[in-house]
Amino acid sequence: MHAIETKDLSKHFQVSLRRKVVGLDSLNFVVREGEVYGLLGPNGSGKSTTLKLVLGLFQPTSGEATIFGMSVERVASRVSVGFLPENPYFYKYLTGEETVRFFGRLCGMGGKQLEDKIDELLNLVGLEVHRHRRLAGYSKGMLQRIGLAQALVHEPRLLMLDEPTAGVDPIGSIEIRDLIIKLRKMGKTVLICSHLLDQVQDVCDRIGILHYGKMILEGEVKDLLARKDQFQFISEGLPESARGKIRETITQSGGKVVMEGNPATTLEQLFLHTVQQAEQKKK
Amino acid sequence: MSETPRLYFSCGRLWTIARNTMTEIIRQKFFYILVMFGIVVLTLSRFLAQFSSIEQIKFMKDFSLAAITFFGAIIAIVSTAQLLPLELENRTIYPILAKPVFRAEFLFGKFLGMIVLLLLTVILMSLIFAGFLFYTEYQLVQSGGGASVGTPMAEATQQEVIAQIHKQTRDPDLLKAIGLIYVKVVVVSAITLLISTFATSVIFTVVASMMLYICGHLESAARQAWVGGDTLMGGGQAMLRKGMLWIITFFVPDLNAFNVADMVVNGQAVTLAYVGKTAGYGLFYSAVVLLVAHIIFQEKEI
Repeated sequence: MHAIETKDLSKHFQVSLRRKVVGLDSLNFVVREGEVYGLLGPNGSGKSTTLKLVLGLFQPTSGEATIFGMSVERVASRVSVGFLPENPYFYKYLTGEETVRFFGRLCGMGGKQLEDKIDELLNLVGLEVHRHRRLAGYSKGMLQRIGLAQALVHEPRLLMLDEPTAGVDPIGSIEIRDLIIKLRKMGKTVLICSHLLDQVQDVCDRIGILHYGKMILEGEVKDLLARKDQFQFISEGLPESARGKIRETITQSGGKVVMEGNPATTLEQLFLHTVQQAEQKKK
Repeated sequence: MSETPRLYFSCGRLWTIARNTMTEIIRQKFFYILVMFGIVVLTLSRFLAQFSSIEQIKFMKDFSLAAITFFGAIIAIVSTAQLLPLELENRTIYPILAKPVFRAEFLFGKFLGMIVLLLLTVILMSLIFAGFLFYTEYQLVQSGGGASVGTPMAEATQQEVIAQIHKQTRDPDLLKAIGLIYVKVVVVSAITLLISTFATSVIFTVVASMMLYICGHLESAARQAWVGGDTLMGGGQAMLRKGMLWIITFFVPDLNAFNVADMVVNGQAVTLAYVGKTAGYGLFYSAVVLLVAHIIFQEKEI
């Protein structure tokens, strides 16, 4: 049984009496249980429409979708789902703790079980200190983290995260990425909608690319990204004289040196390293 | 397809949403309106001294019941009109409906929160009114029933006036009038919620609800005039009028039926049967309106 399965799922929007816009066009895809799936695509490609259809917020024009085998038309299908919206759409007048409690109660939780869960989740997302502050005073990153806490409150098997790191600083973003990896290790299924491709690449097992409501590419990340006609070594402490021999060996074996040089670090790693050093100096 | 789990309408989820709705309205400086009401009533007592003692009490009852109705209706319309549009505009509805929550639980939960808050509001306003009423009664009794007017009275007349004052202030029909005012604001709130399910803006909802509120008060007078006019007309015209009348009665509630303040002020008895019948009409009308609101909201794409 798949965590999510869609069959010819289509959604047309009536924009005027005569004109319809195709939001999603016969989408067929599955998210397997236990995997992290990245749904990618430019703005207007149908990512959010897919999420809304799977969450039952939209009625499909045709086709069907299921969550763990149950039709999304049934409210009960959402018992297994935790959803983090793209922007922090939460009540600004509630505190962090009240927000998680509110969503916990909506999921039928209560008493000590809920209170313990609130403590656990606020610790997990690093908001324990800010639990009594109203959301109106939270930063975007903090709101995103409280969003994750509410999504996890009823221990769902499937998490649907819409742009989970949008507007979050690099450190917060890495924390969210690490949390997703941790959730996968816990056996959760995760569907991420994002256009921050680096992060998707780091955490996703499989991806699908949507364009104008159609799935135009889908597969395992490592398969899609691997250039099977090329091969690379990264060495350390190799003397200058040995490089010539390697070039020679490659050429003699019928190969071609396409690129050589010092590998660059990523901007993310440089940023993290610099900030960590600055923090250590401050201490 | 999987057959489990089954999920049923839950009063727990309904109450969670209702409670949150109350918190939302209270934390949005809602109670300033009530404070304003208190000040209006307080100021009112300054103007009362120019009436005779009984007139003073009557005026106070009349004015205060009208004020409770007016503020109750304004709060019902303005607050209810924002319930759904704010959820849709701020998209706070997304994470809620992404949980195992029925749309009916969400809609009725919002309404329940609103009418519980309206109940508290009407109770609070009534307590302020009662406070002023009993304070005025105390002052009048202390001054011998008519001291404020400055005319000396015979003891027998004085006793009679005091008895009349007590009768006016301790009239149990006041509670019936307040009860019907509450049912009326519930009806107004339900209508506003219905309009907000298809309206395109909060302003539209507020204006449309206020127009319906005014029409609701004119309905009984219009109906009487039309029914009276039927005798002067031919069969076809009379049928047409009856049809129109039926449509108006169906779409516009008779809000005047809830207004028993004049009867209470003038000492006319308000029977329990009338209160029960009118409250029943109001609650039934609200239930039908909510059902229509639910049907529209169920199909709404958010």
